[in-house]
Parts: sequence; C-alpha cells; structure tokens
Amino acid sequence: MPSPFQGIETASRALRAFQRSLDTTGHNIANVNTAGYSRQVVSLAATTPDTLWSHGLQSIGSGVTVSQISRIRDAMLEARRQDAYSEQGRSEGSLSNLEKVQSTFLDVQGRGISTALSAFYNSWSALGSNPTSAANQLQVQSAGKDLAQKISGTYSQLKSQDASQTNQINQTIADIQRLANQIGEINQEIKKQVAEGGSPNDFFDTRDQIISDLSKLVNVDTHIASDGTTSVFIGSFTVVDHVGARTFPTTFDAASSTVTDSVATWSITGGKLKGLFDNANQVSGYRAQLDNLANTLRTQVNSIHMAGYTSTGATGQEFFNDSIPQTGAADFALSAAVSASASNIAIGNTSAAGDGSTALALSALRDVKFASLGSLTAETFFADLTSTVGRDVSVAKNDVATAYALSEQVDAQVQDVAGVNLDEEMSNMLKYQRSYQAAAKVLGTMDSLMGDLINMLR
Amino acid sequence: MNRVSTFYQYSSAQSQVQKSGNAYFAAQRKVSTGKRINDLSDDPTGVNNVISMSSVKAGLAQYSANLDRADSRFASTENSFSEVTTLLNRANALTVSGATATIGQSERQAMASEMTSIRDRLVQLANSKDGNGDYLFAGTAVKTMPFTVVAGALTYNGDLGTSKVEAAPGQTMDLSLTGTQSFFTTAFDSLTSTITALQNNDTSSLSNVSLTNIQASLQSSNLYRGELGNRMRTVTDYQSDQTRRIEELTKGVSDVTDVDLAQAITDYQSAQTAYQAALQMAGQGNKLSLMDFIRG
Repeated sequence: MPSPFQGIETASRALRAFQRSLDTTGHNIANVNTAGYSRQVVSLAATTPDTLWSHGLQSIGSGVTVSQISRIRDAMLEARRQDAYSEQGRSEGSLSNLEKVQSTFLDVQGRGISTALSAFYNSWSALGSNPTSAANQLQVQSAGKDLAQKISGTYSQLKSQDASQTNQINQTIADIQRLANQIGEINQEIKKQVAEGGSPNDFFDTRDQIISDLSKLVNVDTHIASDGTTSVFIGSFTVVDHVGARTFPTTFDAASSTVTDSVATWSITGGKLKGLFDNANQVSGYRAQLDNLANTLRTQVNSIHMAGYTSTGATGQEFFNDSIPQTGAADFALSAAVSASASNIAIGNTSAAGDGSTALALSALRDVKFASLGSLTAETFFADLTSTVGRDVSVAKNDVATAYALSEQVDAQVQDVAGVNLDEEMSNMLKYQRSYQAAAKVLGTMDSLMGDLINMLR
Repeated sequence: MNRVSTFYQYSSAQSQVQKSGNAYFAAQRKVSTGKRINDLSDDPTGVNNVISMSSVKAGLAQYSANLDRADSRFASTENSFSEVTTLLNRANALTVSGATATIGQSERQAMASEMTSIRDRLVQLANSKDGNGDYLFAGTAVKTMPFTVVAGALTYNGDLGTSKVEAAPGQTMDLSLTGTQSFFTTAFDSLTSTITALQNNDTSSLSNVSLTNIQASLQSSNLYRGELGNRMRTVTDYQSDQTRRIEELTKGVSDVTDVDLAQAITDYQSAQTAYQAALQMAGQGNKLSLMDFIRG
C-alpha cells in the first residue's frame, strides 16, 4: 500500500526532472556559439511503479526521472571531419608559402630573370654588330651583371624562405605535441568519470574539438576504448594512448616527408605538416632549376668567351665566375676580371677591332638548346620554370578551395546533427516550463488535499 | 526533416560573405589593373607564352637596332663611293682630253696637277670613317688606318676580315665590301701612271692604258654602289618584317595579359551584385525567431 504522500513524491520528482531538463536547455542555449559543442538531450523515463492490491495486484506509476543526459554525435561524421580537416590543413600549409614564391617569379614590368636574359643576349648582339663601341661593352657588362644578380637574388629569396619554413615546421610539431598532451590529460579525466558511471559530455566535446584541431596539423586516426579514453595515431605512430601522450619526434626530413626519433621513422601523409613538407620540396626543386640555369650559362658563355679576344688582345678570360665543382645560382656573378673592367670582355675570334664574331656567337646562344637544360633554350627553360611555379600555385589554390568546400560540407552535416537550434531549444524550454508549472500544480493540489485531511481532525 | 543549427546559419552566412567578397575583389582587380594575369597562377600557360613572346620581341627589337647601324654604315660607304665615282669621272674626262693631240704641254701639266689632287682625295676617301670613327675599308682592323702611301705606292694595312651585324636569329650581314683594298690600290696605281703619262706627254699611254684602267675602276665603283643599294634594300626588308612581327607579338602579349574590358566590367558588376546580396543577408541576420513570439 503506497503512502498517502506518494502523490507529493511523484510531483516533486517531476519538478526535479523538469528542472534538470530546463537546465540542459539552458546549457544548450548558453553554448549555441561554442565551437565543437554538441547539443545535449535529456532522456526522461518513468520510475519503477509501486504496487497495490485492488481487485488484484495493480501497478501505480511513481513519476519520472532523468535516465540519461547524452550528447548528440555521429562518430562516422567525426572521422570524415578529421580527414577533411587534414586535407584542408595540408593544402593551406602548401599554398601560404607558394604564394610568396610566385611573387618572386612574377616579372613585373620587365624586372625579372626572363627580361634580364633577353637583355643579356641583346647586349651581345649589339656588341657583335658594333664591336668598337665602348658603350656596347659597358652594356654587356651591366646586362651580364644584372642577369647574374637577378638569378642569384631570386635564389636567395627562395633560400630565405627555408628558415621561415623550418620555423613553421618546428612550430607545427610543437603544436601537435601540445594538442596531444591536452588529449592525454582529458582522457584521464574522462576515464575517471566513466569509471564512476558518468557521461562527461562536455569533456567529450572538448576532446573531439582538440582532435579536429590536431587533424588540421597532421593526419590523424582515432580509436575509442571502453574505458572512455581515445587513442590517437599519426600514421603508425601512437601519439596518445590510454596512459597519456607520447613524445612526437621533432627530427624531420621534408624530402621524404617523414619524422624520426632514435628508434624509427614515420611517414606524414596529411595536415599542415605535410603541406609544409611538400612546399619545402617544391621550393628546393625551383632552387635546383635555378642552379642548373646558372651553371649552364657559366659553362656555355665561358667556353665561347674564353676562346675570344678582348679589345686589348687578351684571351682566355672567363665571363661568369666558375669553379669545379660548380656552385649554382647562390654566388652567380661576373668573373673578377669582367666585373673589374668592361675592357676584359672578349669580342672577336681575332684581336682585330672590328671583329665581333665572339660576341655574335654569344648572342646566337639565345637559340641554342642546351642538353643540360633538357634540350631547351635558357629562355624557354626559365619560361617553363615560371609557368611551373604558376601551375603549382594554381593547383594548390584549387586544392584549398576543394578542401574548404569539403570541410564546410562535413561541418554542415555535423552541425545538422549536433548543433544547437535556438528555436528548438525555445520550444523545449516552453515545454519544460509548462510541464514544471503543471507538476507544481499537482504538488499544490496534493498539498491542499493534505490540508483538508489535517483540518478534518480539528 | 533537416535540422539547421543556429550557429551554422550564422557561420555559413559569414563564409558566403567572405567568398563573394573575394570574388568581388578579384573582379575589381582585373578592372583596375586592366590585366587578366595578376599572379602567375592566374594563367600559367599564358605566362609561358607571354615570356616566350616577350623574349622574341626583345630580340627582334635588338636586330632592328643592329640593322640601323648597318644602314648608317652602308650610307657612309655609299657617300664615299659616290664621291669616288665623281672623282673617277673627272679623271676619265681629264684623261680623254689629255689624250687629244690638240692639247699642249702646259695644259697637260695642269691636268697632271689636278689628277694629283684627285689621287690624294681618293686616298682620303679610302681612309673614310663611319660615325664611330671606324675605318670603312679596313676589314675588321677598323682602328688601323688602312691605306698609306709608301714610296709612291698605296699600301694596305687592314685585314681581309669583315665586320658583321646580327640581322635575324642565326643570320648576319657583312658590313664590309669584298675587294675594296685591291680596288683602291688599282685605282691609285692607274691615277699615278696617268699622272706620269700626262707629265711625259705620253698620249698613246693615255689613250690606251690610262683610259682603260680608269674606266675599269669607274665600273667597279658603280658595281659597289649597286651592291650597297641592294644591301640597304635588304636592311629595309628585314626591318619592315621585324616591325610587323613586333606588332604581332605586342598584340599577342596583350591578348594574353590584358582583360577584355567589356567582359571584365560585366563580371565586376555581377560579382558586386552577388556580394551585395550576401552582405544584405548577413546584415539582416536571422529575422525570424521563436523568441519574438514568446511573451516573457
């Protein structure tokens, strides 16, 4: 036989349950703008009924209780989001540095290498066609100097990106470690609460959010264990397990896109880190092309130049500085002699003042396809390099656009499921408010019944 | 039914504003710079074409400048030969009248002295220089005075090489004329022997040897002038071809790099409209909300 106060108990349970529901609605509304927040839903369940004897055994309801407060989350979407973010991070990492590179190659108003190359050949053509002109000799000297400076200057601009790239890579690795540490710490907190039978929804959200952030930096796989902890893998490297975070290797090799510690080497396949590696490889590729161009010009120009005679009858002079082994674009410059005086420029195959044949032979290099440049002329070779840079940037831009579109799409799907909708919360609030009011009414009615009963005894 | 989260409603409006803002900016840049290609990535293949075309164009401009020099050099040479022809015509006339029997000793002496000054002038012309101060008839030894009179004979101090200009890719044009050293020495020798004949009243030598020799030189001189005329015409042909190609290339570069303004402005306007719409949407925010219908 239930207590006469059962009704009061039922009503007060309802008040408590609706209070919790309202609290959760409030929590959802409060976090409408919180990144990574998943809306929480209160599941209500009827409590175990009481029994009474009335024409047999009957069950009578005993009210409501909060059976669970869960967060709405789709684990499969979460995994897709990690992949999308990883690609977004990679493409962004690659593009940001490439855009700086392309401005280096852009021949604005004819101040670039291709213009300098044309001017260089032209200066020889002019000298060969008018060998006694001192002005033409000076023109060759300054055009040669300009060409060498443009090539070595472009090279050093690319080289100076190395330091900032290495910096960015180190920073990214530090960020990966920091996020892994955070995941490790939250894991421990979650493990504790799960062991006590709890469901720490907000910790889950925070952890998912950090994993999303981590996906932008590097390729990530996750596995959730029954104790509530999430293990995080970067390729085959376990960066977080149920015990805590491990130390991510800080030694890297951009060329092979790997990180390594004293024990083993791991491939990096995604995220900003991969983008930075790719970018470093591309830029060092451009530099190698400039080295090739500089060395080819040295070899080809010098071999003709050294066979020619200067206006003072000297021969065997180098035009560009050269050494064995060749030193590439970094220190590409005129030879000391030519740099010191334009009179050290060889003009003809003889020392006759009107013989411009050497200069004309050098001018004719314009149309010579060099084996060392892949059977291209120097001008075509550089034009190809320039358009390669442009194409790389354009590919990177498209990648970024695609990755963004994909991330947005996945984000939208995640948000459709997990995001807070204020209208929905408002209508829930009304529902719980009204229910609370009704339960309070029940409590009041019960109280007045009680009062009637007590007053009867007066 | 699909749920739409409130957060996503705002953030997607924001990203829409950003996207259409970027498109608007890109369209604006095309109109304001007048350039289709502002970054290499705008059209990598186009960039490649532009570089190639610009290189060829720069080369053509240089060849054309080289040919200007050839042209002025040929003009200087032509001037010299024009005067040489005048001198030789006068020498021819003097020889013809010197050979006539009616002419006296004293007149032949006067003719010999005029002939001597003609010969001196011929040597001067053989040592003509161009605008650079280079000798025209010295082969490639352009700084060495090519002709000097040594013991009554004209000696050639130049060489047999020829200065050239680059006229087109892989093509050169000779600045010097071949055989000028023997032309000038032969003419000098003919004049010298004519002078001797005049001084000696040797009318038979005058009418046979001298006349033949001087007329042969005159003919050579005319041939040289014809050759120079041909070369100057070739220069003009080269240059007009180069001018035409430079114009074509300029247009080619412009086709690739410059915007079609009408198209660009249309694009700009449509981008502006899209941007305006996105801004308006974001600005209005979410006007409808259940909150407006609940009495607190």
